[in-house]
Amino acid sequence: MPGRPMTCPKCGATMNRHGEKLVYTGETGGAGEDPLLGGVMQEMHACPHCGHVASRRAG
Amino acid sequence: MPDPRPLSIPVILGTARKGRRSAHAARFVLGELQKRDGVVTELVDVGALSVQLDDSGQDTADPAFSGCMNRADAIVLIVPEYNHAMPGLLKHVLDSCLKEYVHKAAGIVAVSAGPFGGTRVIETSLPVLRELGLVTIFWDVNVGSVAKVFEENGILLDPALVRRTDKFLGELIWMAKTLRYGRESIAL
Repeated sequence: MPGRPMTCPKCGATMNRHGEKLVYTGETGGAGEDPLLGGVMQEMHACPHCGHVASRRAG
Repeated sequence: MPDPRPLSIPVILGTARKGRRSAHAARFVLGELQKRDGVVTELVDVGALSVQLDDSGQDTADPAFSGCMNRADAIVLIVPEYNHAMPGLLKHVLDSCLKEYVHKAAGIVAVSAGPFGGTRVIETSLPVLRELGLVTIFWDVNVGSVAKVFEENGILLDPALVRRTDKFLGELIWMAKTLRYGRESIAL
């Protein structure tokens, strides 16, 4: 389910969440950690206004 | 309505070796891209990047490289075949980004000194690109026996390369447009 929208850090437009990626990292705990899948879920966002892409931990 | 923003399609020269013949292929593809309407391009030389060798992974990228990949709608990788695989430096550089690649198109121009045209480096590169979130196209450019394809000064000797590259870029641009629409308009 989509979470709160992300604001483009470059132009301020509302970004589109277009992907998720499970990242296996040595860092544990905190937002986005998926204990069942064993990694951290990152959301990928793209700006429809300027094309900038950004990511953040899911959750 | 056509998108007023041009597609950004950088060409990544994937080797820093002295005497690299892949540079001829990179300049050739760059020139072909520059002929396309609605496309902006630039040459990214992995040998000219500031690369951290004592760290790896996301957020260790050269800021110029990260910015270029962020702007990109697609990338062209000029990949010489070294023992069936891509150069270690190219892999290290590619691994320094992630979010910048997701749902963007990637095409491979493989270069080899021998007759097989880099077919093996293409096969071993595909799972790497997929893991990075890139979407590979089903056209490649194979530059085999590269010394017969380009003169030492970079002059093209094999006119067939123009036709093959045209088909390759046509597919790459279609995929780049499609994926830009998806990234920016279709929510997951």
